[in-house]
Amino acid sequence: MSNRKGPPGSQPFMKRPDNTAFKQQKLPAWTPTLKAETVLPFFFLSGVACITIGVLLIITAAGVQEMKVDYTEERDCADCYSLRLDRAKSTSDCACTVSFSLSEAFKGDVFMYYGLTNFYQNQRHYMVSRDDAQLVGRQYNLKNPSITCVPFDKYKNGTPIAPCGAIANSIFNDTLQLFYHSDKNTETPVPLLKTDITWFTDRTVKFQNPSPKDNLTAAFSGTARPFYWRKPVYQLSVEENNNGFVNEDLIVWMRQAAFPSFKKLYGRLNRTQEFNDGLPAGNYSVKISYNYPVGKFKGRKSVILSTVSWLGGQNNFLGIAYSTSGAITLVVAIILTVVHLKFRKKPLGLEEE
Amino acid sequence: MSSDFAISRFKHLSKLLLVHGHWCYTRLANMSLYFFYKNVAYVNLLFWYQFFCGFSGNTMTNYWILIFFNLLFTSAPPVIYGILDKDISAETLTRLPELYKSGQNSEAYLPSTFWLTMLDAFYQSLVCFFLPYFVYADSDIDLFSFGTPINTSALLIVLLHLVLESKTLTWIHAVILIGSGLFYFVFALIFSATCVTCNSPANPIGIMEKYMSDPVFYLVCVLTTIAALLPR
Repeated sequence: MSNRKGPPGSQPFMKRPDNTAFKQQKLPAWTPTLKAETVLPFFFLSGVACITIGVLLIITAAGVQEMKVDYTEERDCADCYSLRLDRAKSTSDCACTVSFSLSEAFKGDVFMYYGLTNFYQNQRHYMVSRDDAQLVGRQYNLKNPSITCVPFDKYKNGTPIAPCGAIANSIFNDTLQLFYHSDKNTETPVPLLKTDITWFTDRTVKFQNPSPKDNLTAAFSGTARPFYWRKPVYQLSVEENNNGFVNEDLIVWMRQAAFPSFKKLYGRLNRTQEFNDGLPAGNYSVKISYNYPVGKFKGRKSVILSTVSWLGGQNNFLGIAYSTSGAITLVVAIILTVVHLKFRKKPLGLEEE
Repeated sequence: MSSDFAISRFKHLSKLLLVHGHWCYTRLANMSLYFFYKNVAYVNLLFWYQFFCGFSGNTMTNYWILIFFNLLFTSAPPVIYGILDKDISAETLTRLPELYKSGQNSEAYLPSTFWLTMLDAFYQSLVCFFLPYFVYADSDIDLFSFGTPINTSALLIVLLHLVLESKTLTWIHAVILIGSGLFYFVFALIFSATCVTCNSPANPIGIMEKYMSDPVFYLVCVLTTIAALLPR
């Protein structure tokens, strides 16, 4: 207490805290009180805005056309389905055909997807079973796959697998060919582009072939194909630049789906000749080379044709959600307005008396 | 002698007790409620996802964003709230000493308040997860792209919840709140632009570009939860 010298009643100046607004807790502040005048217009405005957006979204989504054909056990595919249940016969080929018809023409860009259900690409152990450093094309990782790929990293004799991991091992290997039947006897194959079906960053940055990039057989020498594959990774496609790790089907598959039932892009319509405006209405058939065994995990396979809008594929949910929340907000706003007016009348009534 | 508080004059005691004591109590109570709410809401999102990934313990966001969510993006706002929030002004508190009773009766932190906060957190995480789920189900969305709108909406919801909870907002609040939000976006953008092999199996390169078609969607998530909060 030695600094309490000086005349009694005077403050010890050096101990006084600063008189700034922050330290004295006297900062200018805004108190957001929820008054009826601010809340109700906000509710009304947001309700109206939500409903308008919702209606817009519903209209846009209604313009998207989609055709889904489940071909797991459809007609002659049922024989292939039972064949594939037997693991010993996995190398024997099986082909089947599925037909469907489009009642309306699909105008614009049409995309072909393959869909799987009950396939958990998002299961934890499955998900970590990949080596991104190998897929980027690093030489060291090519010959030494990461331990996360175990047991899909090496053969018993020590040959490393490229690409390693369970994800690559289980790649979807059905081939789907679409045919258009303009009349009973003619069958035109629908041209599909298998390029540009992946994200730009995936095929240019995330997935790169190891060098030398122009001679893939040499680049991948010393490695072997994954257990369940029939061809090595550098022979996945007949197209020039679509082999090795940059094969677009591989890239599409490696992007793990979020949910157990998903669809993945297979190809896009090549808009030439009679398919200039999209897919005309009529009868179609899909010739399938049925390889993927879904029976064991009770999954279903399907081929999906769809047009897209700026909103994406066919999904009404967002439009409905917006409209519903807009409607609920409006209802709540009306109820609150009624309550507010009722409360307001009381003091006025007292004054009149 | 050490103590939490020290006053130089006896007359300051009334202000210390009535004003600062009351503020201290309400701030602490609300801040701890907010922390519980924030964490329950966020972790519940991961819990809902388990129903769809076979309960394998997978997360739909990569580790960095998970950790930083609590560490960097949402840590500063509640601290500022705890330092600066004033539910009743100093003058009112000194004039009406009976308001101090609210602290003695623990009116701001009753068990009912706690459970109500938990319920709110539960409801918000439900909305925040299932709205994007129904939007993206059966499509070709991939795992980490699904996590991105969820995380962004969760962040916005949590920050806006704090705004609604605050009784006073100063410029410091505004700076910290907007700063936290911006920090998240900047971080996520940089992370997704540069990380190719740094964080297996996430490696979110290029994921932020999914953003473009989705701004519409965030509004639903935030709006729905605010509509639920306002009656509060």
